[in-house]
Amino acid sequence: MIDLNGIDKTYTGEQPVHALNDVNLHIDEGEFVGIMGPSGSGKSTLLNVMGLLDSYDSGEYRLNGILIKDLTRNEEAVIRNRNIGFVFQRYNLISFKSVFENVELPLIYRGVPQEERKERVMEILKRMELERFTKHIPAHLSGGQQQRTAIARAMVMNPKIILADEPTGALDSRMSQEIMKLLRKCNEESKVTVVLVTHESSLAGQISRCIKMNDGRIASDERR
Amino acid sequence: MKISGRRSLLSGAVTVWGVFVFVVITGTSNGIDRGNRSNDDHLIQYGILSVYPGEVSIPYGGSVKGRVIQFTENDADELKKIFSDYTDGIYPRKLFNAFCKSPTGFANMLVSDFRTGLDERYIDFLAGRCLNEVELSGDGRVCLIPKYLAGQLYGNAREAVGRTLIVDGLPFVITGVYKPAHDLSFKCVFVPFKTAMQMREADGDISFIDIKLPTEMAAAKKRHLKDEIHSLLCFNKGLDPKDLSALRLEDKIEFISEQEKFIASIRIFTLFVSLLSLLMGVLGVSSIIHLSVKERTKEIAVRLICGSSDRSIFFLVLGESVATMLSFGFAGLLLGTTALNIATSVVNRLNEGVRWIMISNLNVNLGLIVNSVILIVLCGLASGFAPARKAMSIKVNEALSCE
Repeated sequence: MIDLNGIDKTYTGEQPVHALNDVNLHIDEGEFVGIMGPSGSGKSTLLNVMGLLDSYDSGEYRLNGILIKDLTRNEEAVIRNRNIGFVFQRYNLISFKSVFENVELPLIYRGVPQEERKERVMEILKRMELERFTKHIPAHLSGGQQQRTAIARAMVMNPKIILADEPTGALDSRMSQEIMKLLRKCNEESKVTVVLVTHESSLAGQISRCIKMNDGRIASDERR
Repeated sequence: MKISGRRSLLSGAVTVWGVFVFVVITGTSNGIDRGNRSNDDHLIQYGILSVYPGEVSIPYGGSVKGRVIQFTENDADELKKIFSDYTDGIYPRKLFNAFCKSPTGFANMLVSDFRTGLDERYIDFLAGRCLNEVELSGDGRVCLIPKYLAGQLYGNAREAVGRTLIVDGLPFVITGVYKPAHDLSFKCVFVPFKTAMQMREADGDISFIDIKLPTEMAAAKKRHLKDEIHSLLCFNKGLDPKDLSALRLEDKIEFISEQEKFIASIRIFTLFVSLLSLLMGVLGVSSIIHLSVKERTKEIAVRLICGSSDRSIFFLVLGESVATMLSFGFAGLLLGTTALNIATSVVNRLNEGVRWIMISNLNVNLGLIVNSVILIVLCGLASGFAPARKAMSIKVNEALSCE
């Protein structure tokens, strides 16, 4: 599913930052992977490279067998739309759109007909227990509900991978557990590969594979 | 958000103002054009070259400076001999001041000979009839009087017809009362030519010569004919052809062409001003869209991670720019058309009964509205292009990390 071989990434500037240093990683379909590590260890950069949100300098990245290198922004957009769902710490919902419209957005860009869109959005909102909030705007929802909406948006396209960057970082511990359960449910029921970045060790129990990073390198890779 | 809202409002106001000025100026310019075209129609259909005698300013041959030139019927006859084949008529004219009175009042009036085919087009009959062929070829004491003289001396037009008007002590029968077709028309008492000449027998001269040119004659040919007539008259009268004050040839065709040049320069100026105003509008909307893109960087990044292509983002921003421009533009268009409609009703009221008009019908026609909408859309595209390019180059990871 995800193949990273010798990935290097340096942010140029007055003081170049070597964010990823010879990263080799293979993630299979249906895995639930947690990437942990201290701040500045390269976790988010790695996630961005996996999500085609950032480029890499050297090495080779293959997603579903496709070499991710020198793609145009539109090619990247198509691959993202068809394969990857994103969940962020700050939810990143569009503030003036309703829950329904936020979840519907990826389907619009895929060109799914309106009737089918409605059906799929309602189905996923039901799974996320958000069917009562379809017309609410994000500001009228709790943090947990907003993150559930973000997960619904990520899941509505039936992606092969969900990349979650500190999805519980803005939530209290009860909500955090709830979101983790939801991601776990998505992983188990839909066989979707979940890769999440977190520095909350309390959540480590929910993860089936824990990758620890330090100074842009994979320090450890444990399967549980 | 409050600051940007105020900024958006100000930029929007600039756009509204830009479109308003564009509509008003274009409508006004069209109104001036329409007014002048209606006048031109009058002048073109007359196609008259008038030759007026003047005063010698350049001594030439036996003519000394200050000599007053006089035309006689012979001068008109000379012209007829040579140019009658090229013209629709050459007419000696007589025009003078006279004391007119009725039993109830008096007035000092211009008296002119009446020429069928020339003067009848300058007047509209209100009562009675025009002078007939027999009267016009004779020296009878019959006359046509303007409406205001009829009102002043007889109460109204109908009352005046058939009554006697004393002109310089001689009784004239009023056959008709007319209204001047436009305010440049002479408001005079019309009499037959021979009668007019007899009334000023002591002078022996004529006032000027009217030459009616064929309407189908090409402008270049008309100019050539004008030069030929000028040369012949200068030769006959012993005048320097360069002496512009000795003879004055008033060419309506040339007047129209000069006027057209003037109108064209006004149109260019107004177009420049209105385009400048629209440019302000474009800058205003561009500023709004730039601001919007800046504020919505995160939203655009979210759209990109949801699978939006750069093209979709580009057209989304461009569409918003056109929509913004259209909404402010329509407000400007609405205000502009309202202002023009009000101005038109005022101007048309002022133009009532006047055919020589400077401006008419400022109201916006469908063409102007369609052109304005097209222009607004183009301005919207122009305003949104740079912000749309900026939006499509947003880097998702950078945009989302800017919390």
